[in-house]
Amino acid sequence: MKIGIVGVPPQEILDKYKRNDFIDLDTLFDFTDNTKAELYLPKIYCATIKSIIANALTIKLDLIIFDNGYSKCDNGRFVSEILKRELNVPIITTQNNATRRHPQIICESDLELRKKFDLIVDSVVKDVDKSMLKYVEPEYGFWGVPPNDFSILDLFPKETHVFGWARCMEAKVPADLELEMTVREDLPTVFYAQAFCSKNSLAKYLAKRYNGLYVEVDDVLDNSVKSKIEAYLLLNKKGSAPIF
Amino acid sequence: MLLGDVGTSYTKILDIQKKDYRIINTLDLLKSEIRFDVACGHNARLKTDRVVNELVALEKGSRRLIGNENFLVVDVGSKDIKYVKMKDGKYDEMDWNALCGATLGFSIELLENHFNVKTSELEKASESLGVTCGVLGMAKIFDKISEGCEISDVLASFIKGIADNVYKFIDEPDFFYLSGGLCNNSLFIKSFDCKVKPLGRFVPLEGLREFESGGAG
Repeated sequence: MKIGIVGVPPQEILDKYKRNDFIDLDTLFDFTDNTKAELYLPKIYCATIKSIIANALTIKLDLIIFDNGYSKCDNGRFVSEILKRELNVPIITTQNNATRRHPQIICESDLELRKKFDLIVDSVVKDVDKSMLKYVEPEYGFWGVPPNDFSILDLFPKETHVFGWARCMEAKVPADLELEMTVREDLPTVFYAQAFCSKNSLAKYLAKRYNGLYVEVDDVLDNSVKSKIEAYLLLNKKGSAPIF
Repeated sequence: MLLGDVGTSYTKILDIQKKDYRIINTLDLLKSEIRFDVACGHNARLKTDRVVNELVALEKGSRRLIGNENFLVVDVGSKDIKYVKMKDGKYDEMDWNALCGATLGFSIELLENHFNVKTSELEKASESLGVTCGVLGMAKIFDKISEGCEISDVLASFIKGIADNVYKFIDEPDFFYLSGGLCNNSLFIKSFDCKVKPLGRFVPLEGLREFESGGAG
């Protein structure tokens, strides 16, 4: 079966469908056309949620497992209801209340930041081998959800630790707000949120509290946000600033 | 050696050997053969192989001009507003707004051309127009004029609105340094509720001097 996954469904549900082909509907694939989501959603809406709808309409799925409670977001809750009514695919909705935090090895490893996120997303639906991963002493932090446009992650060096909801993903506790709001106070951190996402309130609050940089991005990364992040990383870099 | 700050509307150029500073329209620059040894700015990549982040250039230039390791410098350009605050020579705070609250310099120039007015010659307004950004502010201007308000009063309150926006953006300090084209607009400077010292339009260029020899200063 081809099963679409949204968010971080409870492990016992995923284990039930283990031998099937999982696909993460939150992902902006090369073929994902977010304009398709405008069939049901306003044009001005969270790009990640638009990707969920666009992917659900494009990919031939046999089942969708949609974690749509406060372990995802209210946007997810509404959109799962729309898909239940409009799509001819069975949808299981879940609320992941898990509290046991798994180790967050990927988040603190020496992988490039983009690779860290690839592996974190993979780890939701399958066992990933973390035995070869090495801890890296961080110079920066990246807080937030997996971005709609992964190119933002290429701006960071591998000495970047992951915080926020992405960390909760690896820890398999997507509703753990305490973990989501945990950062290292001594680390220059970029607090990222998808535009029109309620997590902007957390991102902005935490950035102010910990003297981080708050950024929000809609569809794809633009040059202004890119320059802003580059400036923040350079101004907080130990040693001289390089030329790009 | 040729240094460039290639902004959205205007390019500031420094020829180090000739000690010559000049400003040209960026559209004219893009049509020309001029290339820079080092450059910063929105369009820099089109005119150099060595790009420096413009906020970093602003910080380094400010440090050279101010001669002090504690400062808050704000750059208000055509398209965006950015600031950096340094404390004891170390990074303290920064932000960069290219969306809401932006297109300020561009809007002022557009209005000056449209109404044939030099806003720097206007009297300071006591009331602000309540400007969210340059674009939405312009809509309010035309509304006020259609209600019979004097053009000079409306434009002055628009400038006050922009100044208030910038002031809130930088967290309402007692004092700051100003960089960018609006350093020449005395009305803009007077409209702030704090002390402002203009540094001129060439601050990032001064910062680029640090990268002259290929190093990072």
